[in-house]
Amino acid sequence: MPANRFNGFTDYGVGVGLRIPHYNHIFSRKPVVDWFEIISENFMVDGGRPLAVLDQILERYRVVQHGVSMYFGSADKLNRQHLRRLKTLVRRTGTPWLSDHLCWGSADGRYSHDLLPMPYTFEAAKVTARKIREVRDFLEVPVIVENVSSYAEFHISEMTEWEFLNEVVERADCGILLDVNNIYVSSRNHSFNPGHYLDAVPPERVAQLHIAGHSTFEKYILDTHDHPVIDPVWALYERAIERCGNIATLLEWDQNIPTFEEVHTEARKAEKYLTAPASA
Amino acid sequence: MKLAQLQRQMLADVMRPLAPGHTIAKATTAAYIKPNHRLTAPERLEIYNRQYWFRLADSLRDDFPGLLRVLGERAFRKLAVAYLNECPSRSFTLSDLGRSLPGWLARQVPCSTLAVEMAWLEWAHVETYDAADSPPLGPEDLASLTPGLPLRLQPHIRLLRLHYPVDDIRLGNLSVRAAKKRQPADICLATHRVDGGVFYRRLEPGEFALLQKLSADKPLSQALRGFTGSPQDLQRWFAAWAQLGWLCCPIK
Repeated sequence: MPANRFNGFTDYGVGVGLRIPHYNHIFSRKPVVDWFEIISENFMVDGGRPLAVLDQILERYRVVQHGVSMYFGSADKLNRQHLRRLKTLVRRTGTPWLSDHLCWGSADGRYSHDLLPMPYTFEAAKVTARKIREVRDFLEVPVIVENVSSYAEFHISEMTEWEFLNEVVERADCGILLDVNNIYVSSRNHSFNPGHYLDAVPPERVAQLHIAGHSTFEKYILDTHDHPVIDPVWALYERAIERCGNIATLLEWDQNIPTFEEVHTEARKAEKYLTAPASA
Repeated sequence: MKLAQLQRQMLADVMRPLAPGHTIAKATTAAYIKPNHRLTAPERLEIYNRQYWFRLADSLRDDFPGLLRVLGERAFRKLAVAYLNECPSRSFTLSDLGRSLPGWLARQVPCSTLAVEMAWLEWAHVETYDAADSPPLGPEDLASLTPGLPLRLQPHIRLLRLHYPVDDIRLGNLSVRAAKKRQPADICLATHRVDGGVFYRRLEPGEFALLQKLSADKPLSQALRGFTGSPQDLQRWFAAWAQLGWLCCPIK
């Protein structure tokens, strides 16, 4: 199950996010890393250091693109300039699949630069799925969608988040980037059982997993990617691996970034679960 | 409520300024966001509201550290809120967030020339950082150039005419206070890139004028029309530009 049509029939192991504070370490020490995930938007430029760094990384490592601003769920039309630039980058990296979030973030051409939560309606699922298909057809690469952490719910929602996810991926016939930390964060913010979410996800569509740390406040949890992964999230991860198999996994650490060794060591804790039999 | 209508309403609430007097409308928010047992609907919305302002203000701070020094923390924060209210992001990338800031700042009353010039320098810095580059012409290429052939400047070069030494402030060589005491003077400057790093280079006025013409894709013969400097100046400038790789292949 790890290699499937949604991740380009690849069988990647445990990756880490490519982040600026680690460049020197990576180029001088050349650590063995299964793969790097890049934030597409950071490299959708015409030249300079970002592309020089990327080309150096591509000489040695496998790279997968992850986006933060496609906003599949926005009622706005897709931004053609964005798509063209993204396609240029897709050709450069040879990414076997491309991920972005199941969210919205712009309206009438104005951008929030945030991952805003979807109303779980059939109308929204239809709009979102249509845009995922358009993006995939334009980019000619498998597109997978990631569940986001959320802090608000809407009166107009007609289903649960996991039902909405399933509705979208079925309509779009696309894969899922399952973020188990996001499931945990949202489960705490909206008082649902994260196990129910996990069990409802179609395992055959899961193409990649995300793990991360978060910050706990008095009345809610915030997805900050600035801590190690906590045990309840590892437990969810273990359950996800049991259901989906040895899926390509990435640790996200985006703020208060420690040394590369610390991040990589934290990520490689996932191998303990990946090397276990795929199903109990 | 339709998807587009909900998103329009929520985005307007997310973008509402955090400053006192701009509270999130309780009735409006409660109409589309559910409360839970810990947070009211406006409180849930406020999480996104705060993140919006923190994220975008941080991005402006990253791109305009010199302007922050010129204005100070409080004035910069006020400026960021006013700017983002009038010029919300219309690009998928945060890198474009400050594109309209220098022009917007220049239209404000009262307006500090020093601050405006710092903003122009810092936006040029942002553009220079990840603009394209073309294969540079070497000395041997320059030797075989014909006067009618247009030359191109490297796409990462930006030319600025200034009155305050904002480059020195940005580089930490001069304090804001000392710069303010100086009499305004003509300063010609280029931002450019070497080995991925952004550098500033002061230019002679004649050199600046010639580069401006070349940046408009004028053929060399046209660019030199009206040039009153010495052949030695030209030789010196071309040698420096060739060394820096500033000139690139003529347009075919």
